Amino acid sequence: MTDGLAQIANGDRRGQAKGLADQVTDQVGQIILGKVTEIKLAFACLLARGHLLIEDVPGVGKTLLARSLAIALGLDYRRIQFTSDMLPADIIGVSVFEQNTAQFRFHKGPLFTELVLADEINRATPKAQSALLEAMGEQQVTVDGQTYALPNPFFVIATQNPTHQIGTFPLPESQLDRFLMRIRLGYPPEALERILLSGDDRRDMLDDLTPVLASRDLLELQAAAKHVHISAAILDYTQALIRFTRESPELEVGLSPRGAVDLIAAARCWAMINGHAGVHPEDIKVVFGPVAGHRLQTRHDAHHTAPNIAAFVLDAVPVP
Amino acid sequence: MTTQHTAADRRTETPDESTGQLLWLVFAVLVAGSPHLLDLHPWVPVTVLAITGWRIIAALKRWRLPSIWIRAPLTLLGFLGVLFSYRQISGLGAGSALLLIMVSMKLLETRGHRDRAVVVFICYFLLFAAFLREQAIWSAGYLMAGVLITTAALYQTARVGTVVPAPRAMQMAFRLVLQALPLMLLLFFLFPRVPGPFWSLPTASGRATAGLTNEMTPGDITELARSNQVAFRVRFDDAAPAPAELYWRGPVLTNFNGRTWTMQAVEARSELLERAPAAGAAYDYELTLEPHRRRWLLALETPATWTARFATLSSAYQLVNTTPVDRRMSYRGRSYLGQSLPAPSNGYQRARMRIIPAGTNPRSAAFARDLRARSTDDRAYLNRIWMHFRQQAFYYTLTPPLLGTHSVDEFLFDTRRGFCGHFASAFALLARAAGIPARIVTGYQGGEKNPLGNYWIVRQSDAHAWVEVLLDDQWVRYDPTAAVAPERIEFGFDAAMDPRALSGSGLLGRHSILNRLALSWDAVNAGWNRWVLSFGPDAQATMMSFVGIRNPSSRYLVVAMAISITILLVIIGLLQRYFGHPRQDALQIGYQKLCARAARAGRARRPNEAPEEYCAALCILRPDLATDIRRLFESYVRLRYDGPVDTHRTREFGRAVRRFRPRSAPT
Repeated sequence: MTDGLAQIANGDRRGQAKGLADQVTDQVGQIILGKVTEIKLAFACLLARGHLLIEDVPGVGKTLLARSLAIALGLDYRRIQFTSDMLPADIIGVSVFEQNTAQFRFHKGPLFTELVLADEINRATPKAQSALLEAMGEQQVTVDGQTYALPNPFFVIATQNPTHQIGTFPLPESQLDRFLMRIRLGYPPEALERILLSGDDRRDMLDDLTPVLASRDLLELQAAAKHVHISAAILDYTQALIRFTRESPELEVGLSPRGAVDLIAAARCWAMINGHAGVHPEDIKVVFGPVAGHRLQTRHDAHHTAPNIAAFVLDAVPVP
Repeated sequence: MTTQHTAADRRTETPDESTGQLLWLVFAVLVAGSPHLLDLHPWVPVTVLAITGWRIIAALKRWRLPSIWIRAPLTLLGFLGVLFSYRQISGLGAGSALLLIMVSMKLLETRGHRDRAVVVFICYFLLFAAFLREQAIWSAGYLMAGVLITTAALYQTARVGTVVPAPRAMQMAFRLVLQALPLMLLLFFLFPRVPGPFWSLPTASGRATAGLTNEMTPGDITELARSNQVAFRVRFDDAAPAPAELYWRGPVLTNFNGRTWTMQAVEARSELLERAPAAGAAYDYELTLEPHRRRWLLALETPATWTARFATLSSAYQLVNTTPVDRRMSYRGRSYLGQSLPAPSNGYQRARMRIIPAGTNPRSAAFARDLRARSTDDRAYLNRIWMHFRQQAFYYTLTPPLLGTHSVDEFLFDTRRGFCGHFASAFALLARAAGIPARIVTGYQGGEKNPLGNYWIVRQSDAHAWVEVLLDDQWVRYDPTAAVAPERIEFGFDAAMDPRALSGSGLLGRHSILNRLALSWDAVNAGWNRWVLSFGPDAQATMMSFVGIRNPSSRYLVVAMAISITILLVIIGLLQRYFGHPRQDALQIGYQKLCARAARAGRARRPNEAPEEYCAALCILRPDLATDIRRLFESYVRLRYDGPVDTHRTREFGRAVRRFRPRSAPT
């Protein structure tokens, strides 16, 4: 089995991972137009067993992206709409006393799904947010001393509105750190938006999507990503980037070791779905922004936004 | 989320140089410029400070830098300003003014690393030029610190984007300078020396000089400044004579016009006297004379031999140099204490030394005639004058009253207050009035012994004047000041002025802590002068003879220098190979070669560019080479990142790179 996985990454079947990824991108790309990089990043994020945060203004297709990914990957999908009066039990589930058995029975909440869309996560109070985040870290929940395992694979795609909008509770840094990537969608290019306007309703088109993968395939790909080669040169480059974020006087905090591990994991998956046998500097550069952007903070945030911080760091560090 | 910005986007997003880097540059410019600033025309420092100040504010407020249409006239204006205020463009003053103006203008257009490097290198040059102004040891210390700061600025500005904390930059600069130290020492010792320091630029003339002059008018001086400036330092080979015996002979004043004593024009060599045979106790010493911009040298009485190359002994037994002493010079001498000077053979010279202008100082002349008439011979007469000074109420003071036309008359009979010049002048006049040839010798008397360095310091405040009188065909020294204030001669200048100094206590006394500190500092300075600044051809030859090379020629030195520098560099290279960072592997070397060749074909790789990005950019620039370029870059990436080291294919890659010889970019 392990040999087979290694083959996916290194050997003749390396193209297979790329082929699957391309199919997923094609499928989702039919719904979300002109966002190939973002779709591939989202896919890479799930392959790296990470959770994804999509931050953007309402209406650019955040929910649609999550739903179409779920369909293309053949995953169970449930959506939790976060509101300000939400309680942890609304997410995790609740123990109910049953009269006929005279016992408490746990009713699983919407969290027990392979792919959870936590919509507008920053509308909920920190208490409700933390219930979700605990599940994200451990892939299990504990209610009344009883531990329940969450399904495998288990992904959370959270969306949030830009934090300056009214009625939001911004996620603290420690919880932001739980997300492997944060991406933004942005408006579609004008030509593609024209197709969007003239075409069918995207929601109806979801019904036409066909799953590309079974969830077993996904697990296999996840395992295969670990066999993507990491050379000494790429470790040098990664460490140079990390060192720079920690030493630069422009930045408030540098990248944590967890952030660094996540960076390598994400770069491996990105390399795999692009058909590389090893991680190339370019792979690091592409995933650096989504992985590190939300974990870094400038000293004077006035003129550096997240992609700018990443670009600033990538500009400053030479590639060996 | 778009991560693939184009290169142009990135350039506009992040400023090319951070404010921190600019501040480092400005700091380096000010540190390197400040030794010059005060000596230049006032408009130069004002302009430099205004431009640098504006530049800092502009950086903080993110103003736009001036365009070429503003910079070009400003540059021209600066150039013309220097030309008009100095009437030249070369020379220390004009040169440093021009450099400072231009380097501050350069700050207005520091766009890339190259511009910043130019500023840094001008700073190095300014620091070097500052050594031409001041060669003291504190100045060397300041300049060394300046070199460190400038190196730190070079390190900071060569980085992309941000600066590291100052202590780390300074540490790095220190390491760099330390690595250059062996090279510096080699150059210092082996660089062929020319006689005299090679930085002997003509310095600004008309600077006020302290010390002796070639004339003396005691009546005009109402306050003699006490200058602690060092006149010269002396190291005796053996024991030194007693302080009272230390008469350092300087200019001899023979012409008198009634008020002013002046030096006789120096005679041609043919008129020189025969030397007197050596007599008395011999003293050998080495004298290091501070520059005083006059032609005479100082020597212990009575000089017999000296090693100053261009000095001759005049008929008045005065050591005269062919050129003014405008740099520190040191020479060895031998003097015989108690040896008398031979009298001039020709009658004209004798007659000259009896001249008193008619009608001047009538009371003194009458007094002299009267006293001489009552004396048995010249010697008795002179002793009577001596006793007169001793017994009458004469006072030694540095703030004598102003004297009129008949200055000696007024001094002898009315004021009776004066310093050595007054006493010497009056004594010489009284001698001449009685028909005895007399002249005034100026120079220094005494000195201060520095026990720490075992040498004597003679300061400007030790300046003195005494009288030589011709008796029985021999010159005899009379020091009338010793009659009035013997402590001046016995214990030195301070003792004459402040009796407390003799007690040897107190904060300012001769033996106080402060004085000891001052003496230690002077010892350090003397060592600096002796071993560093005066390291000329002679010292170099001496040093080379220690390693067994006698009288090396300049060519020999150059070859030796080249060989030893090569050896040094090889040693450093070997050390680095074994202890430094691991050597780059063959793949890395191949990739660098590939990038260098590709740079010729298209453009250079930016340091932050990944191979794939660079390859893509090149393919757009040179579609004709796209296939080759893509093949080479792809095989590099595969070898470097996709698997373990593959020596065989790395070698193949190296060969492929060597075969890749693109023609330069079509224009």
